[in-house]
Amino acid sequence: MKNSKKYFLRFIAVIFFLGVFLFFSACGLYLFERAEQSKMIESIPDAFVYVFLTMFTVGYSDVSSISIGGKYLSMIVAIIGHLIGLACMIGIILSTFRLGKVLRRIKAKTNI
Amino acid sequence: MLNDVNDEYTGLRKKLYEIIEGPVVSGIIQLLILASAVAFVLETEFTEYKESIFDPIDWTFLAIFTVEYLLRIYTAPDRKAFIFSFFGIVDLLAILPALVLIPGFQILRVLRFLRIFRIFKATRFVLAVDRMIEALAEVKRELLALVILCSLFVYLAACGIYVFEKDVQPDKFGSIPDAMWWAIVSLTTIGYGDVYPMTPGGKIFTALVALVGVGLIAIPSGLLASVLTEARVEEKLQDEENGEEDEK
Repeated sequence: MKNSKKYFLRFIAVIFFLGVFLFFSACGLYLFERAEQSKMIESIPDAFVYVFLTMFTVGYSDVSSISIGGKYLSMIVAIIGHLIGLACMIGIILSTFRLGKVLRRIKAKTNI
Repeated sequence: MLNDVNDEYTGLRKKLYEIIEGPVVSGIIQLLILASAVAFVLETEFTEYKESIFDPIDWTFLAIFTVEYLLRIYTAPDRKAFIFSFFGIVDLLAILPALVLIPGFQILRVLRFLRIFRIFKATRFVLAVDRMIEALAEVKRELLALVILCSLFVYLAACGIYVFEKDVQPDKFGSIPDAMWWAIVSLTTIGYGDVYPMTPGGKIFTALVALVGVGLIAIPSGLLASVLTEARVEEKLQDEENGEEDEK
């Protein structure tokens, strides 16, 4: 398998995981908020927006009445978002820029 | 000798097995799972169409997935192994809540979408991801240490802000778990703005905690990013040693 293709697939895999995680968190949040009869999150698409804004640490305060379960879920989403969303995506993209330089440095060292 | 086990396993069953596990049927099933996820989400938005549109759609998906599950059991080379395998159990979980018809458990339909992970059975995905997972497993210990450090910091920040704010805002900083909500929201730089300090002491404390904490919480992300870069360099070096010329 070609390397470039491999990295593309890897990127897709991370986005895929994020997507699935987003979906399940949104469903969970909807469940918590529905139990609380909240007016802020009335459907799963609303919950999607909330979870997305949390995961990418935007955090507009337009949705703020969150149940206790919802709060704990948002904490988890925030931390996972930091780790998978930012770290893995940045790691995969960053490696593309740094690869050539690092390789050249290693080769220069081993040749001498 | 090997043939002894499989000797009944010929003809129709084998053909069906190859069709079901083949790329065409797998692709269609993946699309159906996605479609059912979209329908599930939209149902909560357009509640007025629930009975006229979404319920029939849901029953159709359920019927398709049930038939598919039964076919998979029927055609599997080793039935017991399939039923108790990871994907076998996920497939069963996907149809079970709807089949037993417990109304309160309708939301468990969400389990159906676990089946989307079947996509990772494709070998090219496995090849692409396994080095990445290996690299992540390498830093397990460092990651654990950092997580403990971060939790400790969150805990200390929550205790600190509780001391400053509990008298002025007893509804928002009334307990340390409440204060922890503030700590996580601030330190991950989300900042919903539903809870914020009001006393001068609390404000100064927040500024200090944010200065130190935001960097601290970002360290695990940096670690993961660097480890993925390292993994890629190693892979590239290995490929060059093997004399493979790709990616120009």
